[in-house]
Amino acid sequence: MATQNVAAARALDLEPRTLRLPGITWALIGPAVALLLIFYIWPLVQVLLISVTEVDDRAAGMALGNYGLLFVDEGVQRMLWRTAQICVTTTVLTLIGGYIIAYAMVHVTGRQRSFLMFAVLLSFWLSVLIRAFAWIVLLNNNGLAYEAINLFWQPLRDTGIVQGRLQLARTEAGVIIGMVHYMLPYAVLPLFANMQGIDQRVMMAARGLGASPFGAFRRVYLPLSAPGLLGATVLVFVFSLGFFITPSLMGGGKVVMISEYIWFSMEQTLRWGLATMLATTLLIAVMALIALMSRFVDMKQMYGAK
Amino acid sequence: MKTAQPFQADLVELAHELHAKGRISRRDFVAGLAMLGALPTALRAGPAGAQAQELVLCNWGGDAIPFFEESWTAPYTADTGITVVQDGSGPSLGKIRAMVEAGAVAWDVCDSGGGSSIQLGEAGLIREIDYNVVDRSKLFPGHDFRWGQTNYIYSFVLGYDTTEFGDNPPTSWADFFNLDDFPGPRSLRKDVLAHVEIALMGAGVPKDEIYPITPDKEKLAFEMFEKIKADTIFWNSGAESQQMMRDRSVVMGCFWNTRLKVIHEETEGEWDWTWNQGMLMPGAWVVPMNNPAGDAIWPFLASTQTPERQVRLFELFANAPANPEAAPLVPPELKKFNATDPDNYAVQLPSSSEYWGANLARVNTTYLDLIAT
Repeated sequence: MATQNVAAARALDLEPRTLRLPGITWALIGPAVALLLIFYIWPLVQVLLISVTEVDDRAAGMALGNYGLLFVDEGVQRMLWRTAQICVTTTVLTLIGGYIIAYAMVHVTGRQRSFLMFAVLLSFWLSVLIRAFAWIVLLNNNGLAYEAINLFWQPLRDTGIVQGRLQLARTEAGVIIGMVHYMLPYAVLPLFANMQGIDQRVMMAARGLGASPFGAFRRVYLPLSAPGLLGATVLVFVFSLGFFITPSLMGGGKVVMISEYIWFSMEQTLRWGLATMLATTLLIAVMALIALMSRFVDMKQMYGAK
Repeated sequence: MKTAQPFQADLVELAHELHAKGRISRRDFVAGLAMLGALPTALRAGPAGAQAQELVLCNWGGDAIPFFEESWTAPYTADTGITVVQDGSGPSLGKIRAMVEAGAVAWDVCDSGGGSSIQLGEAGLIREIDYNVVDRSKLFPGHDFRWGQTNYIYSFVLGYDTTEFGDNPPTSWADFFNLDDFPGPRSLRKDVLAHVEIALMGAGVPKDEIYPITPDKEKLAFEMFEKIKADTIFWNSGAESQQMMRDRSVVMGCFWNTRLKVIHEETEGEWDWTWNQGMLMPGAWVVPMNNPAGDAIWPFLASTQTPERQVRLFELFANAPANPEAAPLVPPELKKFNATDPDNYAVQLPSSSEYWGANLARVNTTYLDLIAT
């Protein structure tokens, strides 16, 4: 094919390299870029502009306008801090679970791997709403998961180590369970891709040279899987920041994360200045995180652009 | 009609011609016709009126759509030939603002509330109600809002699980806030509307002294929330509140009377409620600025005041009639469920939409901060 194209180009008296001129490249991707600019970037900019043009009552007279609220409004600070805490917890738990699943997937037989992959993908494809409702049913008082966990809780309660009735649904614990479950495939898939590329013989070599099983894992396998681990961290953390449905449905009204706060300020209190300021802050934070991570991980490889 | 009012009919024809030539805008045309009182006839008449034969009503979807249709829109269409299309996507304040500011208003009327009408009205996003067409005398006192026409009334009431309390159920908000004598998880709404009053009544402030709400009273209310916060879960949607009652995650709560009625029937009376100290809340029609049908919306709004139609909605939906004349038409066996039945009305407190219109955004933010930490 390639030679035919070259021949065709020669026939038209075009050198192949002229096709690679920047001008032509831009002309070819131009429509895509224009579409993005008009339908995605421009509306986004318009929304974000509100954060500087519409000053919130509470921010009136502040040097940084609405952005000053980040430094003085305790309600906003507590909400952001809570969001960060929940996202860190979710990320850590998801990575632990995801690492174990991905590790198992690499090391089992083909048929077992297909089964595990199917299980991961099945939950990946389910809507977040369905999963949240399913967890509510499971975690409700008398729900299946509730009963199972209560088997351990009740004896502790009887001996007085813990107090109060076990409450899972409509608590922060419920939110984290729901979020970890949602995020697991996002951790498993990059980790699995990374681990598949690790040559298993290096472990044998390490063992052959006298390393203990755990030593070999810690000093050889873990560093080799670090890029996958870092990639999964960014992916999971960034996605967690934007959670809305799960905390809102499973938090008993008491877990309010940044997305819900933005929604609330847009729709309920008409504080658009505040809402767009928070949206801008979230966007900048996410981009900064990705920029920081790209120094350590090959992002192009992670997202399949290479 | 044509022979009875030849002069008016002639004017209508003239207006059609002017409009067709682009000499007057559609809005002026419709407004002019409304002034002539000739709108229903005119709309059926010519091609220029064809567009205005459709009104768009936005409500919150679900059962509201068939119920509004049966009580309000279908009878109106039968009377006038004007179709009313319903959009159930939910006219939140943010959506109305976005629509009006973008200059792309698609809704003629929205199912909103008394307090919201003041918030939206002061922001210049909705139109003043035309009380020349809508009848003030068909509204409860204080419910003739400048920017909103009360279309039905609902209540926040104290509902409880009778199996939990037996012969000694909670009877007032003081009991609701009393964790010692009435232990167990309870529920409030994740929105502060009507809840400041409830907390104040819980603190022992008599119903008649709740208003005006001063900063001191607000502070007291928030101390009450703080007191029971750990034992409280908060509901977002009416469906969620029902779920809490069904799976008995809570023993009592502040719920909408309409949702409680459903659970009351479903559990054969195991969940019940008291009207005592309930908060009466006005639902209200609001009309966005530059609504497509213009003044053609007012006759429809006036038609929703008809007592029979309000009673029909009540039978379907348990939303109480906003027209005091409707109460005697409610079937006796349903009186218990009617928030605006004279007996039930008397023991409740009508919410101050002035207070909520001016303060909802601020107090709601404080409330969200409180419950989320």
